[in-house]
Amino acid sequence: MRSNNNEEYWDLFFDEVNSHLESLTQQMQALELNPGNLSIIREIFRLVHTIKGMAATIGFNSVVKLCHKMEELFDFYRQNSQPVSQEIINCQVQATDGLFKILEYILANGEDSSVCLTLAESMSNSLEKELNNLQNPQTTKEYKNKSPENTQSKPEKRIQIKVKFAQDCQMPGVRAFLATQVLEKTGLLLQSNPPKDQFLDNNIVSNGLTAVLSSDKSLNQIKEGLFRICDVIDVELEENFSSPEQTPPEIVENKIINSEVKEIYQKKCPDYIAEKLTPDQKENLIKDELKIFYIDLSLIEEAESPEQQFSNLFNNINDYLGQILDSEPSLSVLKIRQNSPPSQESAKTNINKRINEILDNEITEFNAHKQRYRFQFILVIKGDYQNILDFLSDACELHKVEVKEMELADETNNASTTNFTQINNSAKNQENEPVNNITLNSNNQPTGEVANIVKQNDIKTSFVRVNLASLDSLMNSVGELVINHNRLKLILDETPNAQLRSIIQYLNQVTTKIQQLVMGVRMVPINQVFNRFPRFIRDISRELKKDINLVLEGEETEIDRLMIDELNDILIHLVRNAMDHGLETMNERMRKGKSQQGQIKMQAHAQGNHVFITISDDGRGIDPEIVKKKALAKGLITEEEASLLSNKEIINLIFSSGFSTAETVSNLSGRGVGMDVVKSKINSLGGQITLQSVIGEGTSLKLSIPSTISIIQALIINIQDGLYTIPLSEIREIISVEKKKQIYSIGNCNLLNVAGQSVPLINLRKYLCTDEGLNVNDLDYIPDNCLVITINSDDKVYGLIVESLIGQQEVVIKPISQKANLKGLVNGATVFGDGRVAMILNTDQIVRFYLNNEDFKHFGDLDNDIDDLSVLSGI
Amino acid sequence: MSRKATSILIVDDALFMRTVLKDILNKNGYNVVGEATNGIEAIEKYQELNPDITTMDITMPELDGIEALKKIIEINNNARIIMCSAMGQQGIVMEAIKSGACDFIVKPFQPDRVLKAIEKASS
Repeated sequence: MRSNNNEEYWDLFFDEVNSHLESLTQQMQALELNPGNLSIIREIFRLVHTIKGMAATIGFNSVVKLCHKMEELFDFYRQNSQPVSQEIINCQVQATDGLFKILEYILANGEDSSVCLTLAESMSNSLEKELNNLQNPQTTKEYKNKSPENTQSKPEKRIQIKVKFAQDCQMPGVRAFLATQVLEKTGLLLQSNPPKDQFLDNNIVSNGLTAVLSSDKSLNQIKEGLFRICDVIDVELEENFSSPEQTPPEIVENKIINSEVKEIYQKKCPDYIAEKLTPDQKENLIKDELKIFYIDLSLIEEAESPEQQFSNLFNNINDYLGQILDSEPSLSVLKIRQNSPPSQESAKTNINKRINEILDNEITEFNAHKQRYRFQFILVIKGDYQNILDFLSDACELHKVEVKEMELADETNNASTTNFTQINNSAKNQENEPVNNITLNSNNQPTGEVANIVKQNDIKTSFVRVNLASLDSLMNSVGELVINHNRLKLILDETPNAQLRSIIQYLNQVTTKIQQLVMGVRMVPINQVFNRFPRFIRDISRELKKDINLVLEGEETEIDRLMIDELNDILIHLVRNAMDHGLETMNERMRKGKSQQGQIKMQAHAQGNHVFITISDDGRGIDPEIVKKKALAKGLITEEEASLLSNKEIINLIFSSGFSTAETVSNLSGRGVGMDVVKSKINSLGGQITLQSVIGEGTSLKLSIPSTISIIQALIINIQDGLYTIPLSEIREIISVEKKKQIYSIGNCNLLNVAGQSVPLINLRKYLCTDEGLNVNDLDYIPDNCLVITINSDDKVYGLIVESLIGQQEVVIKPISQKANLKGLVNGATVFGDGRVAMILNTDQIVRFYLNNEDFKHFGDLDNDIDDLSVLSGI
Repeated sequence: MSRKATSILIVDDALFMRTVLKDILNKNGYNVVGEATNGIEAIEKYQELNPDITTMDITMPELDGIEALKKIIEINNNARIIMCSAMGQQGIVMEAIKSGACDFIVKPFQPDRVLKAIEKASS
């Protein structure tokens, strides 16, 4: 039935499943700490169940299979409220990983293949084993009606029994159960109808009970027994000597309980329906070319996501079969439920908690659950009921369907036909459900009410999933808005106009607000990344046999969604390093007098436009001597160079390409992806990474990442008639400089003394206007009066020489192609109100470029030589 | 068994419910021999009084009605216990019946239903 053309839902599916899986992982951890916590178990059950449902809808059977087993196991715990053992948790954690793997595979290969199924099966099997170990054979055997085979040897007569309950009977299901109890005492109950497992559905049982009993007791004895049950108002007994195989399935008369509703659907087409018909349709109806049918169908219990099936059915019918005039539930209700299927929460809101705790929500859930699988509608079609039946049995997993022809509302009551037919997919269920469940009844949750509750829940947590692409395009449009707003401002400056000014001021407010909102939407709390780490650390620490405590701080810090994925890989890498290289083994820690448990701390906080993430460990720290040795051995630096470097600089060599401190390559870190890759990745995000390490005390890596990357405050500068911008957040200060007096040179390097510190000057012109100046002494190209913008890079200050400043403005970053980005010196471009384009400078890259070109290293640590330099400043 | 001779133990944590039930029973000639306010007390009182019939509320502090029922049935397999349930507790009533309760009545109590249940249970 389900085809692969669900692909349009894949994004949605994977998005949601991933978030569920993440919650699942978290809950598993919580469970590990607290294995007896029933609410965690329930939550896990719910999550797995939801994933199963979704997977079934989209047709990923391996996921369904695995989820099913996981669910079963938790269901056991849910019902037995005993603490979950460590083995089971491990098993389940593996299964969760399995789910991740399967989904990854599906996503990569575009289909659920046998590979997935094999994986799912092997995992299911181990879960199954655990389940079998757990279950006590007596408790797990479900009650089953004794099969006819057992009875063949018995000579007793068979008795057909019909028990009828009072109209106002409360909990008829329990009454029916009592009746079966009585019957079981008097003989062998061969068959009960409805079957025992459906007793909890009042709709089914309210008709009464039919049963086949094999007994040697007299009819009167049986009757007496049954009449001792309250609310039993009628008992019919009939002896029957035929063999069990020939016993025809008994069909109970469909008792009309709510005649009003029944009337509506059975005979006459109600007025409100008739009103929906077009005059044409009415005419055709009279001519008998069109017919109206009432259809009541229910899906098999195993059917997943009935809402989805029904709404698909609804659409398919309208497309191919005929027109649906009315349905219960309506399409909109289906849609709502589809997005939030009647969960346990919605069904149980009106029962008090205490009861719920004892009772595990079964009853209320049950009715709502039953209702979920039922769909009634009125259809006007050109054809007869056979067409409908054919269509329906193709279209969904039918359990049962009832099709009745209806008449147009006017005349006779006794009029012609009530075509009536039934399909039973299950031989078990032979009676008709009464059509009374549209009416409200306190015992059976009416669908309407469920829908209402669902709606209310929706309001409480009103979240909408948004496609990231449309968010981006929204962002883009907002960018355009900002640009045009700036343009208007420009016009205003040229031609002052009070009216225009007030409009633009207002526009400014609105634009700013929209912009903030859109940015806000893009921001997600960083715990989306952080949350993956407890699990990660748990696994790795076992593998490494290190006891590691993870401390997370500032998880609520928000960051642009685009950053999240990028950040994940980086952080994983850094944390791996910290665990593998940073933290000592337990024995080593003991010897050093540290606590056995190592600590890894991940902190995040926002400051200005940046988010700072610190990953620190209390491990052995980085030994500069070892780093130096390595660097020399690998030829990264010469002895001479090494002697000039400070310890801090040496440590920073680990960011050089081709450097790895691991003595042995473990399967965790040292996979060849070095810190240099991490660093360049962070830089490409517009961020920076700095490292601090104290031998014996630990290492701390600090990442600074722009919290957003779309709209920034920027300084617009002019270099050789070209416009450029520098993000305001990167600028320390702007100094007006007279070349002759303040700038001095050492070799090729121009320096400026800023507050007692020698700041190397970078002449932007040299890099940005490529054809000239590459081999020219910088000083000559510095204008006599220039501006120096000082910036920070790797904890050092550099000065950028620019010719003039244009102003400060909010700019929208537009990505530019790789070819145009001038060796990475620019991050993007922006468009001004007047249509001019400016590049956005990547100051880090400029500094790096500068350092590589200037052979800067020869000057050693400039900070220590200020006096010497000032002597030279006259040059 | 005459009504007078039928001894009944009422178990319910709410004084109000006990009073309502006791009034119904007393007015109709039954002999309410004791009351208990939770499951633990119910078991103690049951052993002490050995009533013919026990009405057992389900939702109670300390020990709920189902557990108390199970304990009492352990003590006396033939104990006649009528569960008092609220509407919607169908599943749990079913469990009670499976655990050995002989009948149930649904709150709010309707005197004739209560009496019918007691009558059937005592016959």
